[in-house]
Amino acid sequence: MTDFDYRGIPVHVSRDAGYSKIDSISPEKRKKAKEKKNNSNVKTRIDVLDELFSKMGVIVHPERMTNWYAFTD
Amino acid sequence: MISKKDVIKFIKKVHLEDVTKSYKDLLKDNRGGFLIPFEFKLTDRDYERYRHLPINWSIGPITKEDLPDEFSQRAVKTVDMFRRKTFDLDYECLIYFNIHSGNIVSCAFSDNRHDEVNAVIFPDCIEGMHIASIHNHPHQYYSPPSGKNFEMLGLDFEEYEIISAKNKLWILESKEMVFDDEIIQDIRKKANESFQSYLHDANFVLDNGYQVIDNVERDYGIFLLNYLNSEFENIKLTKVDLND
Repeated sequence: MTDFDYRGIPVHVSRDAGYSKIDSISPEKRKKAKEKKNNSNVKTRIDVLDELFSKMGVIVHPERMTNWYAFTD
Repeated sequence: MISKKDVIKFIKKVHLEDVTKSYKDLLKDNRGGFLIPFEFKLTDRDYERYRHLPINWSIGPITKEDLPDEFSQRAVKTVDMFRRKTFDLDYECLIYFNIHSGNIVSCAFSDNRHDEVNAVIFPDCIEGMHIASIHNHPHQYYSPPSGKNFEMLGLDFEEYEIISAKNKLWILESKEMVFDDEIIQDIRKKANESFQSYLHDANFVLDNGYQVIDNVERDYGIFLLNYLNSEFENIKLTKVDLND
């Protein structure tokens, strides 16, 4: 083999497929995000809703707060 | 008149190693005579594979309005065909093409890794051409460029980088190679940090997975458009929404 290439000096290029959707919402990721939220003082939307419902005297199971039907039930 | 058959016979007789060794001497030979051009096309496996990919005719077309003015009608056709051929792939494909003639000059597929595609370009062979690249982001990946992208900002032969996603095209334009590695690394870092921050702020409690993905994709995309288009004079990022 020779080190001479009549096509010139090659350039290696690389392109990635973007951020993975599956990785971004993996159970581990969701758990970490929830833990971070629990440890922060910033009120999330769920905190605001919690306060609102407790003022109204409505007890809503947390699992049912995953959508806005919580208001109409 | 030399027939195609004769040329093929000749090529088969000549070993490529011998050609490359003697090519330098051949160029210096000014004695005249008949010189067979050695730029014969070798079979490119990836290009053959690309040519035989099935075409999805059910999706909408890419039109001239979707791409920069500089792209010829043939180049528009190349982009349109690329999208149709790669729309249903769950792995990546990358092509480099001439934005005036529409001719493909390089083609590569991701082999074992689904999240990265590598290719080799010979800049000497495309000197004087106006070159763009296009690669697909399969459906299981976000459509905007990730932090690993932006390599083209440091390449002087590449003027446009297009990302073809499910219902979007992202077009990164940078005709001048004015960016050193430090600036590119900085852009990558900011993109990564931004993506992670949007993911961190996503409401995993209230939103389901699809909503999280939609929100992060939208917000991260807006960040990239604002950041790149306002911070750098020589970079233009465009998002094209496609209706299929």
